[in-house]
Formats: sequence, structure tokens, C-alpha cells
Amino acid sequence: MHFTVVQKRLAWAVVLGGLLVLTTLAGSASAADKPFYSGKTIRVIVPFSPGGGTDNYARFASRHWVKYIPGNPKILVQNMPGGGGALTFGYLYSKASRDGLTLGVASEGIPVRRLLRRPGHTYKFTEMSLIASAPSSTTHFAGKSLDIKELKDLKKTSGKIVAGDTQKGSTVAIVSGLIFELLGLEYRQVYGYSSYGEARLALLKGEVNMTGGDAFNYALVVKPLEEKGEVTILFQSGLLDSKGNVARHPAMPHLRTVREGFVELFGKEPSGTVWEAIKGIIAVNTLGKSVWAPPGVPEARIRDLEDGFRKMVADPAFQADAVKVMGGKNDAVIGKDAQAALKQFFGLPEDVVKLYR
Amino acid sequence: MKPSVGRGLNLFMAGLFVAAILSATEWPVHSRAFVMAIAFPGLLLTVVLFVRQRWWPGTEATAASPGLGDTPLDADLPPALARRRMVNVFGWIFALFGLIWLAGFEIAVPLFTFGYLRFQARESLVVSGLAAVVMVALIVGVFNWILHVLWPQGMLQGWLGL
Amino acid sequence: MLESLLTALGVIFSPYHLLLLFLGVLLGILLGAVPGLGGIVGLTIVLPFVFEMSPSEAMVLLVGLVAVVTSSDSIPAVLFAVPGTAAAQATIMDGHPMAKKGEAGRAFGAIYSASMMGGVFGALALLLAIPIMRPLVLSVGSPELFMLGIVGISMVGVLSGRAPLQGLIAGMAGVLASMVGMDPQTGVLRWTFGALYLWEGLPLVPAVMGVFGIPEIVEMVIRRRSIADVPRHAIKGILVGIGDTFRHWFLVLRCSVLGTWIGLIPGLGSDVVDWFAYGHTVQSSRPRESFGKGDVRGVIGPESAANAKLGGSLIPTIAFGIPGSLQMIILLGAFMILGLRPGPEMLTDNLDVTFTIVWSLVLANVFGTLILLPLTGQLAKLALVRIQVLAPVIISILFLASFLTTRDYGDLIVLIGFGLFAWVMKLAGWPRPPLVLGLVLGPIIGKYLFISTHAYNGFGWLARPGVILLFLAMVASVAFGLVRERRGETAPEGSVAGGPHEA
Repeated sequence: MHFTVVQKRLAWAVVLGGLLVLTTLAGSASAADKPFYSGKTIRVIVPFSPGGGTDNYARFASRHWVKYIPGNPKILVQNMPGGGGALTFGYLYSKASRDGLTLGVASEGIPVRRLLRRPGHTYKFTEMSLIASAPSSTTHFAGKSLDIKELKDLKKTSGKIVAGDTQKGSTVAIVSGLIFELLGLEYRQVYGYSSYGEARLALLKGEVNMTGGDAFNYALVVKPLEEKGEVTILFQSGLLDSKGNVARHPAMPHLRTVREGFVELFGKEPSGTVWEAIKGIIAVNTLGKSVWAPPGVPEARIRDLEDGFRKMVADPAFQADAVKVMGGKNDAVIGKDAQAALKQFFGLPEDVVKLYR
Repeated sequence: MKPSVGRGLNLFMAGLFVAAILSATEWPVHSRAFVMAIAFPGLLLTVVLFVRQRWWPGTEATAASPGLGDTPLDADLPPALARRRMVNVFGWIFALFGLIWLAGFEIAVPLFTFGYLRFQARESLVVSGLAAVVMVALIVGVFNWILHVLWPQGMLQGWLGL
Repeated sequence: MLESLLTALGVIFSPYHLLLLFLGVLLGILLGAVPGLGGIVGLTIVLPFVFEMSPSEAMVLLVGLVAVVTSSDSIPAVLFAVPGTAAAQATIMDGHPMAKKGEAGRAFGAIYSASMMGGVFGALALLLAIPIMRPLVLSVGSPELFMLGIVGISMVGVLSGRAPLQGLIAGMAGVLASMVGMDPQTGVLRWTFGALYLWEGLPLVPAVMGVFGIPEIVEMVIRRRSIADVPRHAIKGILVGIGDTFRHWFLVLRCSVLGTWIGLIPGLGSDVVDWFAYGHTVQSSRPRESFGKGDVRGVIGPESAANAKLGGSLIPTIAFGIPGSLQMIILLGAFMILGLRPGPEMLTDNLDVTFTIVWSLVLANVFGTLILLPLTGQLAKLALVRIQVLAPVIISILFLASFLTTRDYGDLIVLIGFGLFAWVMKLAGWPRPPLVLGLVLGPIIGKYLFISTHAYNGFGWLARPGVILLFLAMVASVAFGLVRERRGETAPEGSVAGGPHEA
């Protein structure tokens, strides 16, 4: 084929035109008196692959959250898995734009890995803004083979406990190990299940006889199993209330906490380093799924985001949807209050911290 | 191609197994056990293969497997030409990688498409240009609009402060 | 039960549901055909809309979408040796050589008809399995999963052709490569070299694209011809392929059963199904020499299994709320959004929704095939285009698709690294499939071996009936294959009905 000069110029024009459209699209933004977030898109980064608890929560909450942020921005949930959260938080801490349009969601495990200084976890939570967090709580339940009818039967299971967990260092694994220690039970932990869903299936198969979950799947998946007599739910780790006491998670008001369980079994309050370590994890659970902004985001924008979150959890419509989708009411700890729980966690003494390793 | 490639590859594999064994010695037994269970037999097999290649070259299998059974390249091409083209195409692949690193996907991919078609495939300007535009459309339409892909910024944009 | 079945059928045949199903199928076809995208991406795209839908509307859309992804993902696999999703890896083995022989159309005909039959079979299996879901899922424990991994590894033999020693070495290297990343049991970081990216292990998709995609495109560019290296009159059409599938109906049936069964075991992904089905196809077929050189049976087996798997993997999701794959996890999330509780209620109160799923599966597979057949007849002509024109597009797609895996430069390095390595393997005449098999099965074997020894405290689990049964099945199939091969050598070549030699 032969082309005339005109046709060649035309082709060049098409190429340049394409590039031009691209750059205009990338750069289009209009500033006016409107609220900052008006017409903007917030990117919320989830540090894990799609489909997990943190991802579910981020997608669920952001769908509602936008309605309460002045200017009603769009929210895009994106996944950046790597290093158990280190990649996302490293990015947020040092690379992400500081305009309040890039946020990240942490799971309970990320502060633990930060505390233990796992490789790559070098970002500083203290310099970042914690916007809000949705408290979680771990649950712990036994399979049929352990034959636990009431809590005191638990004492007879020492040495027979085989707990199924995802990996060494996961929040549930740490806290269930500590609970067995606290109760003076001999146990064995089997790591390697790819999710607590798989561990739960192993429980049903009788491969393990103890495993755990969290507040977000309790009502939807675990409670029905108890109703059918497949599992015995023992306790929840609980969370810290505003006075710093261990309280029940709002989504699980009928499930005893570990503290209550201890009192029931031994007739006294738990104490000692193991209990302090459990309380440390409870503090992290209180933080639960937490939403973070990079360092240096303008104060006013943080306020907008915080207020939006506060209004969201106050809205009955949101709570109704939370019960439907997440299986229970979804409280939130906002801003400074949430920071306090974290400060407590990072202030743990070394002899407590070493129990997490 | 030549038996020497096979031998080199076998040597490389042996090195890989040795490196795996050495690096795993420090690990706790649960992490180490599976590595050893694979790497030691692997090393043994490379030794067996080496012995066979060295002393019984007749028994050595020449070409491949089920799976893309290949006719050897030099069956119908002069080896020198084949080698030149091979270096050339890998050059283009690395060029694309470098370009992505330098300028980001959104610029690198259309540019690479255009460049390859125009200068390597000797296509007309129109065809090359259209292909580049199609790539832009694909990136903008599918990846940016529908999937909201976060492209990493190229180094160039970083240096220029864009 | 029959009543709900018919009610569900009535629901799905309403115009609105059919339209949604159709949209889902179209989107699924598109996402499957573009390497790097797939069912998961599709589900996350449509999930926001699901919030506003009724359960039956949502189900036809979601199921329609995921059902056809495993059909259209074979388009790039056949044409460019680039898998559209992880479920199309084994399709490359014979699909791509078929395209080289000018039989891309025939491959597509066989693939889509096999996919449809597999998909419909999977739906039927889901229907029949409803009363016996529980024991089916619970009977397979970690020891059995470990043994399944070993069965898979035993296929290195048939995947290595005439270079078994090299195949074994490559397979072991694959298993070692699969160990990169954090060891969940001890928290040790294995060969991560300080890169956070490697904590989660080497991503499979870029690795597979490197192992198969890069060497093929490099070779084609070196040869400077079109993909189909034959004169035009040798081109074979879609109808021939459909005929092939019907002729090999028993293979379709066997692989569908295999696919459904593996699907219903949470813990084995669609990448595994593909290789199992291919391995089984090669092991059970005679003559074997034509595999890897464009044997139509080599695409029929994996493709029917890949589509049958969806029906199977819906079983644990519906019955236990335990998703067997990432795709199922997201589907389960959609269940929750719709207020559906997985569990026995899905078989009592929500039986009509379950049946809607079954019908959606059937219809989506039929729709998908009806759309894909005429479409890819045209796409097959790409195989005749000068390779130098396609090369930059294929290379760009390899890069874009790899990058989508975790959206990190590391994906590109994995692609190029495995690509270079695989190219050297190709030059040396080493079989590449075992490398991928090791990469796919390594984590499964390691994980379930560890879990088994710990959960059962020792090696007593080796005596479990399931483990012994699987072991015997493996020994039998290998032995059977060997015996048949011996006999096959003496039997006249042309005596095998439907053998590829007539081509």
C-alpha cells in the first residue's frame, strides 16, 4: 500500500490526538468554592487480595461513607497485597499523595507486625492520621469431638486441643495460644490453612477441634453452626470500652469475653503477663479495621472524613445494612479516641511483647 | 540447539539446588524439611543427567515433551540468523521493560507498539499509528476507566517533577 | 423439589433475567479473553450493582459472568500461547500447536463444545449433589489433599515426553520456586531477598505467561511467519472441532466428573483442575505421541473439566459457606449482601435461588458457546496474520496482563525472568510443563503434608482409606498407561478411532 503525504499527516494527527485526549483526561479537574471532596475520587487501598475480611469491610463501608463526606466524592477500593500490609503502609507513609485522596485500611494484624518489627514494617503510625476504625473481636470455638457442653468441660480437654490456624503470627493464632496459656491448657496449634474458612471446614471434618474467627463472620457463619450443634462457641476476646475495660463486641452481645470465661472457671480476675498480652491484642482488636491517611494531609480534610464516618455510624440505615451484610452492628472509634487504643498497644513492655513472637 | 545448552542448563539447575540447600540450613526444621526433601533428590538427578550427558550422549533425549513440541530452530534457519533475531526480539522485550520503568505504562506501551511496527516490522505509518492509538484506547478504556488501574509513575515523570 | 426447579426455570426465562444473564455472559467472555483479567475482576466490577438487585437477578448476572470466563480464556491460549486465565494453562499444550497447524478453528470448535458440555454437566452434578453435599465435601481431609498433590506430581511423567529426567528436574525446580515467600508454618521468609513483593510468593500468572508466552512469541518472531505455518487450504474449521468433541464424548464425561469433583474440594484451584484433566487425558489416551503436537483430545479434556469445576466449587460455597477459591469468596460476599445465608437453608428456604444458580449455569454455558462459536471463527484468522504485526501487541499484552496480577513491577520481573529461563529450556529441549506443574502443586503438597503430620500428630494418616484409595488409583493409572503404551507400540497406528493421525 502507498500513502500520500496527507494520509501520513492524518495518521500523525490521530496519534497525537490520542495522546492529547489522554493527557487532558488525566489532568481534568476544576476548582471552585465547592467542598474539597466535591467531584473528587478517594482511593482506599486494601493491603490484601480481594475477598478477605478487610477487603469486604472496606468495600462495604466505603459504599456508605461517601454519602456523609461533604461534596460526596467517589471512593475506589484498590488492593495492594504484599508483605502482610507492609507494602501498602510503606506506600501510604512515604509515597502516597498527601492531599487526602489516598487512604488505606489496616487489619488487626498490621499493628502487631509493626510492633514486632517484622521486615518491611518500618512506617510510623504515629505520623499518620487514623481517621476511624471499626472494632473487631476474635471468636474461639470448639468442634464436636472435644465434647464441651458447658464451659467447665474445657478443663478436661487439656492435651487434646488441636487448634487450626492460618499462620504463625495471625491475630487469632496469637490470641488463642495465649488464651490456652492463661487457662493452663495444653494445646497444639496447626498452621497452614489458607483462611479461617478453611480451618472451620477442617473443624467440621474433625481434623482439628478448635479454631477461631472474628466479629464480622460470627452471626453469618459461626452462629448457625452452633445452632446445628456442630460447634461450641467458647468466648470472644472482646474489646476495650471507653474506660479501658474489656467489654463484649456490639455484634456479639450474648457471647462471653475471655475475661468473663476466666472468672467463671476460676472465680477470680485474670492477671499476669499472659493476661497483659491478651489485653494488648484486645486493644488492637478494638482498633479492628482502621482507616488511615498519609502523614501531612490538611487537618480540615481529615475532619471532613472523620465527621463523615461519625455520621455514617450514627445513621440507622447504615446500621441496618451492617446487620444484613456484616452480620451485626458496626460501631466506630473516631480519630483521637482510636489513636489512644493504639498508643496503649505500642507502649507494651518487652516481656509482654515477646509472648507474641 | 546444541547439547552445550542442555549441559549449561543442567549445571545451572544443580547450582540452584545447591544454593537452595545452603540457604535453607539456617531455617527452623519445619521450613527446612520440605526444601531439603526436594532439593537433594533434585541435585542427585542433575548429577545423573550430567553423567548421562557426559558418557552416554546417545541416550540423551533431544527434543521435548508434550507441550509445544518444537522443531529445533536451526532445522530451517541458519544459526547465525536465528541468533541475531533472538537477540533482537529479546532486545525489544527489554526495551519495553525499560521504557515502562522510564515513562510508565501509558506512554511506554503505545510507543513500543508504534516503534516495533514502524521500525522492526516496517509497517506503514498509518498501520503503526492506528495500532498505537488502539493501545492507548485499550489502556484508557479498559484499564483506567473500568478497572481503575493505578499505574506506577515512570522515572522520567518523577525527574521532571510531573 | 421438582416444583422449585420449575419455578426457578420460569424465573430465569423472564426477559429481564435473560437480559441480565446475557450481559453477564458478554462481560465474562470479554474478561476471559483478555489475559490478566478474569472472573474475579468481573465480580468486583458488577458487585456494586448487586446491592440493588433481588437474589435471583443477582445470581443470573454473577453466575453468567463466571461461567463463561473459562471458555473464552482459551482464545489467547490457542492463538498466542498466553493463557486468558489460570484455568487455560493446559489448553496451551495442544491448542497452540493446533493453531500452528492451521487448526485454530477446529480447536475453538472442540473447546467451546467441550466447555458447554462440561459446564452443563457441572450444573447437573450440582443438582444431583444437593442431597449428599455434606459427606462429599467432608470426606476429603488434608491427607487426601496431600495425596491428590502427589497424584498430580506423578503426571510429570506424562508431561515430560521423551525427557523424563529433565522433566523431573524442572518439576523439582518448580516446587522449590513455589516455596518462595513467607512460610505460614514458621513465619520464615524463604528467598524473599528483602523484597516485600515476594512475601506472598511468586505469582502464578506472570510465571506461566513467562514460561509459555515468551518463548512462543520469541520463536515465532525468529521464524518470521504467521502463527499458522501452513497453506490456506489446510485450515480446519469449527465444525470439525465440534465433531471431535462428540466423538470423544467419553473423555468429556470423565474430565467433567474430574472437574466437578476437584471443584467441590476447597483447597484446589482451577489451575490444578486444568493440569489434572490434561494429565488424565494423556494418561488414558492412546497413541500418546501426538500430544503436544496439536492433538484435539488435549484441548477437549482440560476445557470440559475447567467449566465443570464451577458447578462443583459452588457446592461447598452454598452448603457450608466455605469458598474454595478467590472467585467463590467474592461470590460468597455477594450472597451476604443479598441476605442469603449459605448453609442448609439454601436447600430448604432458598431452594429456588439454588435452582436459579443451576439453571443460570446451564444457560450461561449454552449462551457462551453460541456467542463464541461464530465470533472465534473470525478470530481464528488472526493466526494467518504476519507475526511481526502481532508481535508488539502480544508482547504488550503479556506485560499488561502480568502487571495486573499484583500491580507491581515485580510481576514484570517474574514474567521476564521465567521467560528467559523457559527460553533456555526450550533451546535445550527440556520440557516446560513440569516446571509449571511444580509451581502449581508445590504449595499444595507442602501445605497439606505439614497440616496432616501436625493435625494427626505423626504419619498415621497415611493409613486413611481415602489416602490408600488415591495411592492405588495413581499406581493403577500409571501402570495402566505403561501397559497400554507397550501394547500401543505393536498395534497398528490407524486402528484408533478419532486419532489425530487422520489429520
